[in-house]
Amino acid sequence: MLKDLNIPRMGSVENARLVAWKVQIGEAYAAGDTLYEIETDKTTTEVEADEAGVLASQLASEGDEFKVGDRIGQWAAAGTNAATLRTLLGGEPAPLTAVEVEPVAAPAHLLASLETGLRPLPRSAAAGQRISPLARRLAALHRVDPGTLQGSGPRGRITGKDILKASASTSSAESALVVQAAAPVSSAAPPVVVEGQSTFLPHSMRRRTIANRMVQAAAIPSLTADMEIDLSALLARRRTMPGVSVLALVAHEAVASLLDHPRLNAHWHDDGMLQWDTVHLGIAVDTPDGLVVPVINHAERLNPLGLTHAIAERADKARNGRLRLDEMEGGTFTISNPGSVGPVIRAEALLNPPQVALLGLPGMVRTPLAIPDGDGWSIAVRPVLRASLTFDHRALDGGPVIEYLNTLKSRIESL
Amino acid sequence: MSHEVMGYNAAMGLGLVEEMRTDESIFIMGQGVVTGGWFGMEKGLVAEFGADRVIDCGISEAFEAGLAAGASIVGMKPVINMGFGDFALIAGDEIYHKLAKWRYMHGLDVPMTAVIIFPIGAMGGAGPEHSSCTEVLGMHFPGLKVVVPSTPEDAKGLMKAALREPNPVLFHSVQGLGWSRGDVPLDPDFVVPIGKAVTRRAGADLTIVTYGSMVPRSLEAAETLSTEGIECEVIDLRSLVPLDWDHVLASVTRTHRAMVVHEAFRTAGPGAEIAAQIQERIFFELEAPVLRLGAKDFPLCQSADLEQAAIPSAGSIADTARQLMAI
Repeated sequence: MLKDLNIPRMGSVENARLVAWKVQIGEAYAAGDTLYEIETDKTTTEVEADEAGVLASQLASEGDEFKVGDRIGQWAAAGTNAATLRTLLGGEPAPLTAVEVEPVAAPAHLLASLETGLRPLPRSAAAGQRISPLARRLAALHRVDPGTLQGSGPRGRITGKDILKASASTSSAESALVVQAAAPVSSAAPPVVVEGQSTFLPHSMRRRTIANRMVQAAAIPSLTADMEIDLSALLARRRTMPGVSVLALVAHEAVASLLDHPRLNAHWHDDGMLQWDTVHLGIAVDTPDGLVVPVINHAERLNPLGLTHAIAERADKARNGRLRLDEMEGGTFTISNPGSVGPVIRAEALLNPPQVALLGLPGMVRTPLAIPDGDGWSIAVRPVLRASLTFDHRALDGGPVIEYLNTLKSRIESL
Repeated sequence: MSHEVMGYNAAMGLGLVEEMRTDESIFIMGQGVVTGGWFGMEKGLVAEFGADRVIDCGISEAFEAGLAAGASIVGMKPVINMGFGDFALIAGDEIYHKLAKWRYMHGLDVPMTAVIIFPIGAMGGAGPEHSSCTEVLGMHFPGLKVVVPSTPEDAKGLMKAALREPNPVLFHSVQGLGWSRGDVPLDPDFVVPIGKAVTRRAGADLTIVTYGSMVPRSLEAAETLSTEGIECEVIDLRSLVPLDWDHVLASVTRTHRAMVVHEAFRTAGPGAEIAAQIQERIFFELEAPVLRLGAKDFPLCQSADLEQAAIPSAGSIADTARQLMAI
């Protein structure tokens, strides 16, 4: 009997492009072997076999695009020989290309009941987890992988609320894809390549995602407030803490300040704010393939050294394309650090929706500052950071943002 | 139209009187109905409608129910008061076979309007043979409608609906609520449709599905729980057949937690069916199993104190709700 090979569910991913088949038709493979490689809007992933088998058909070519769940091939049980495989394939319909596979029509009443909720997460995806029936259905509906969640119910049971919370934190990824369908990034005329002078470089999935998210972010009425922070104390403190980076120290104080100003650690939803008691810190990382924002969960639990390691580990993974999807989702606040790339003067950025605030860190500069000196003032050259806080003006007014920056400044200057 | 505050049994009697005034085919039989009935519902009936329509009987439940089946087939509308629901078991064949099945068995293309009154439940030491809650039998045998009013208003409105209904209705009057009083509409056109539940209290955290004597106790428990931050939605089913599934399922779909409370025994009581259907139909809306609370599974005690200890109280309902929230 032939079984279908479907694009697996991966976090909030909806679209995928087949990069390469790693197994050829008729070839046997063991459980855990890589079957094929796909590119999603977030990363490139190798898909492994759940169990041993023989690849019977490839119904998709490299470069084809799919939705999660689409069938791209068929396989047979391990040990199936070539002749049996041919017999099995004889009765199969012609290979499908990358179009939506229409399911066999189900009776109307059954469809209705499926639509009203009887489509839970498959048992295999929920296996080994304590999860309520409601949570199981919501996980499928909102495409949340319960494996990435810590349940809040008794003995760690995952509840419906946990799924909704996780879904709210990843809804940005889903809505980005919706925007993609509604308002594709387009230029007026098709590109004309002039031989010898210009080259056409098709967008990667990630580039398209970034483009759409930027269009989405630019539509948010946002403002940026800057504040000058003297880093003398921080640099002095750092000398007593071997191995700790300046970024981690600043991020540590930024996270601690968020706990005092939780309104900035929140997600915008049209009918209310989802305010977080914990900080899942996004760190924007520049990679050759484009910007990615890995997330450090529960950043408030880390000390500066822990944060240094976490940032380095995420950045390293990002640059090597090894980030897992769950390491890029669920951020509640983002730090963008263009100062690490070059001495930019200002670090205004676009928001990372649905987050309502983003801290931009330009390069540190040494500059003359007027310093209180007895009854008067004197001039001193000091290391200065001109931090920029970009905020969603729908969610926040200037007042709380300045208060947050005041807290951040006084924390850093009094380290 | 105005309202009047009256007792539960009096309101039931008012519903009967109003219908008897407009429909001459209605008559009532039972032990002591001429002298006003055991619980006062039939007070004054014989003076207004005469002995032809208000007929006193000996201890003859099987005869009375059998007569109701026959009379309803020929177009009369009998109302039989069993005195105690317990005694209806003597008439089990006539109620659960004849009344329930004859429209189907014999292809009778005529209505069979008949109201069998089952006074049910604990009433303060009447003992195990005079306190049964037998409404689950009406749910089990197809062909009957089953109502259990919890307020004087519903007692009147459901009695009137039962007398306009083409199928036999088992009308369960709650003995424990017999002397409770409430506002009753005096409009002769006021009826409470059979098969419609009502939400007595709105709440977002869990749904208590109940009826009859447990409605006031569930509401009392809900008030206690509210002070602890648990908001219960309390649904009074009013009818068990047909049961207002849409109403129940819509509520549980909002709250994701449900419990069923009744005075009937817990094992194989109405709650077993209700819990089973909630789980079958909206399993993937549930955060927790559907819990049941009913009378303890032994013959009800004669002592009024022990009797109350055997059936759910506002305190035990609140405890079960807390347990449900902790799952």
